Amino acid sequence: MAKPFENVREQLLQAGIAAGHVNRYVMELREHLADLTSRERTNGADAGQAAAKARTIMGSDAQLVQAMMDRSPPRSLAVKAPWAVFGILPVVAIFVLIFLIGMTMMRLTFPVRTQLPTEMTSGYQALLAAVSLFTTYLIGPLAAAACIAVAVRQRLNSAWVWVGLVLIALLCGLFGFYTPSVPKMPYHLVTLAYDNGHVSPAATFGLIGLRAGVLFVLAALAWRTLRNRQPSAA
Amino acid sequence: MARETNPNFMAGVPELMILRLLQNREMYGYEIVQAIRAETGDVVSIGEGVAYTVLHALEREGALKSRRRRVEGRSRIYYAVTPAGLKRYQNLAGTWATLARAIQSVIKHDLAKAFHNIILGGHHGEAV
Repeated sequence: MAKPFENVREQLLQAGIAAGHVNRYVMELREHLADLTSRERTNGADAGQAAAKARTIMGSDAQLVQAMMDRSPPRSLAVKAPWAVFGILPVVAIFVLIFLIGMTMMRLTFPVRTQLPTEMTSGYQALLAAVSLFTTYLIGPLAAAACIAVAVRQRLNSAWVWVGLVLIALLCGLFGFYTPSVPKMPYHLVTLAYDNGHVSPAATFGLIGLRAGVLFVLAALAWRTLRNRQPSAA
Repeated sequence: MARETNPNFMAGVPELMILRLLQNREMYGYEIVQAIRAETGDVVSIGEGVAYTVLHALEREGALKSRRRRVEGRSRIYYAVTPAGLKRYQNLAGTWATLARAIQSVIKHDLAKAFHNIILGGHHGEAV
């Protein structure tokens, strides 16, 4: 059986009301319903009667939704400005994060900047491996998951979610933190592929495309699945 | 059936009642609704679920502040009035007092006229 006021939640979310505000409203309504039910039980009603009477006293779903809408509740930023939330925010966040990681790592590895990772101490090697793994394989999925979570939480079905996923896939394919695998090559924040000690444009584009493609396909599958499982308001 | 409210006369009343009640102590939604009913002898009745929309609106406007507390294993949101809320209450109370006086004066005048007509027999009475 569905929890009480789920339909109120769905209607308000689909009307674009901020998810945090809706969740709090529903939580308070449920607490209130529990108090009313308990009062009816104290007054002698059996469990079924008490629950039914309490639910009736609360008012219909339509009344509760209308009461909220009449008070100009805060609208979700993802609804008001999806271009900012899905178009600009991921780009800025990924750029800033990669830049900060790159700067921090260059500072941390400054004393060993002339060495190849294989020549470094095990501590440096572990640090480089962890940061490289995080930036190369985790930032993208985490950013895509955040984008999908915002959309699912707000019951959005906007084309801007797809735009966000495409941008995240492209940026995460393009950027990362790479340690030099070739002598005298610097650390780099852009995906590069080498061929015989030199950067190969064809291989680089192939690698970027592969990374972006895999991330996008996985994110798209997750988004489609979760979007199709979203409950609908009655 | 949901409890009947009197919406035509209710504009501003829920805010007024809530701001008054919360001056005594912080309360959660259910307590507020029951307290309003008790204090007004069931004359003023806010819809049980509707009270939260008023509380949230007052909080957004800075008239109330809230905090979450766990009481007997249940999470409740308690509301308290802010200095801005006190000021808002004084304005609302002033407006309502003026309005109530004006309405009462009209009713009194009407009642006096009716009394006059009944006791003294309408315009004949006036001639006497």
